[in-house]
Amino acid sequence: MQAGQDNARHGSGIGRVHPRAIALACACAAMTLALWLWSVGDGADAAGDAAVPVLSAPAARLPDPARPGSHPASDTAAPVRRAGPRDRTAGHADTDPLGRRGLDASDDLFDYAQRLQPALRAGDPEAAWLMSRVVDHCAGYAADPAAFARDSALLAAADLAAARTMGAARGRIASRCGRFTPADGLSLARVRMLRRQAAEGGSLPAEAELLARGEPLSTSSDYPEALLERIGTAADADAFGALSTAVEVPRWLSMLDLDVAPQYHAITWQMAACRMGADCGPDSLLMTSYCVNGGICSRNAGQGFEQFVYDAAIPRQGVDHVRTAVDALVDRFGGAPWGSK
Amino acid sequence: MGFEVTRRRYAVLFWLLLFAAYSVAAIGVTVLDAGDKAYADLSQVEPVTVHASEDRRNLGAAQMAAMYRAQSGAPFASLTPGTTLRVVWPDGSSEYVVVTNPAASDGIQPIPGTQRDAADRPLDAGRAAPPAARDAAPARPLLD
Repeated sequence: MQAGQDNARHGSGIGRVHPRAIALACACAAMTLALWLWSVGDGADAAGDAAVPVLSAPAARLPDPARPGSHPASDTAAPVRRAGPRDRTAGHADTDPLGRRGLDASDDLFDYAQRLQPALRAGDPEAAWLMSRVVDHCAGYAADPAAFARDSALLAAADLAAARTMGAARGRIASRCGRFTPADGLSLARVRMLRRQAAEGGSLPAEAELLARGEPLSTSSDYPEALLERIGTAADADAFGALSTAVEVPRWLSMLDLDVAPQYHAITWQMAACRMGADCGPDSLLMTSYCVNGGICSRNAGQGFEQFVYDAAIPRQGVDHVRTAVDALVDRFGGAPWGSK
Repeated sequence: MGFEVTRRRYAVLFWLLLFAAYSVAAIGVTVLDAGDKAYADLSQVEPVTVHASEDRRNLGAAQMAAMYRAQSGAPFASLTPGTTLRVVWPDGSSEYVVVTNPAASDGIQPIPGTQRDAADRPLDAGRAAPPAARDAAPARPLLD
């Protein structure tokens, strides 16, 4: 009897409490969810904020758009390399074997780095930027060539769709960087140092890379737009491409009324850089970096960046949309002075 | 009567926590666990813990992310810039990181304050990473 009363009381209690408890549970779960999402987003923001240093010298020397791509290293008596069909830079008549196309075409980056030394010592910002690219490209290999080879073997044994292309890309790095050793001290710290040195000296691509990494030369609010304007005026395709992962890109695309899905922002921007003359061929540093650093490799070894993106990244029905955006970016930044259009 | 109310409150709390845990789990954050066979032997991953320098952690996380993309079948759509991941290092320590640039060797940045040691205890949020320059070997004159 007592048990029955208990059951009755218990049962009626559950009937009275449950709807409120469920509502409470839902509300609290939603709050927990919101808090969690906020904390993750906040963390990401914090990471971004932490990466922005407060510069003590915001009035860093700005680049002179009249001299992109030139540097005193061209005076060195190095043998002239044939850059071949890669020479299609819009804003840079770059036939210098130590210039940007020389870097792309070099089969021996140790030799290239050695020949770049005089210009680097002379304080040439373009040389500093080119050296930062050499160090960035070769650091993974040079730190431990044996470990690099082990990783290559590991990746070759893994069941990867683009294993062949990845193997070829890693082989290219091992070949081009083969004369570097751990004693050369190639590291990310050195890349950062050279990049900043180049940017402070006036290298537009280096400035663009710093901005994209959240470490701009100046923290003034109009600096990103001013940099984009200078890059557009100089028609510097490499600098334009270096901006592709900048947080400002969505806003810039929006300002130009280019409605591109967020996941295609960076690749749309990079494709515009390719069309403006950046080296985006099958064996380019860009394709090698995407493949080796990012695991984003084409299964077709003959594809350049643009072909690869249209083949593998963008759904067929979205191609026209992206193509229109790329055309608009090239039209706006690809040669003629900004503001003249 | 007092016991009954307390019991009911605990029951509500239990279901509440269960529901909240389910909600968080359902959202899903990609976890790259160095204990997985695919990542365990990668050279940039194997020696790294949450106590390593930021450069080493960036490289290790980027190498795991590259492997993840390469295995995904849709590499462009995997771990795109802005994606938040949880990385578990070989010793069990872990942290959240954010993808910044898939094409860069250090295209991943740790999120400050999310580092936890192998016993899942939070590290000091303000802990400074060792200077990256210490990782570099003495340079040959070539790059001086």
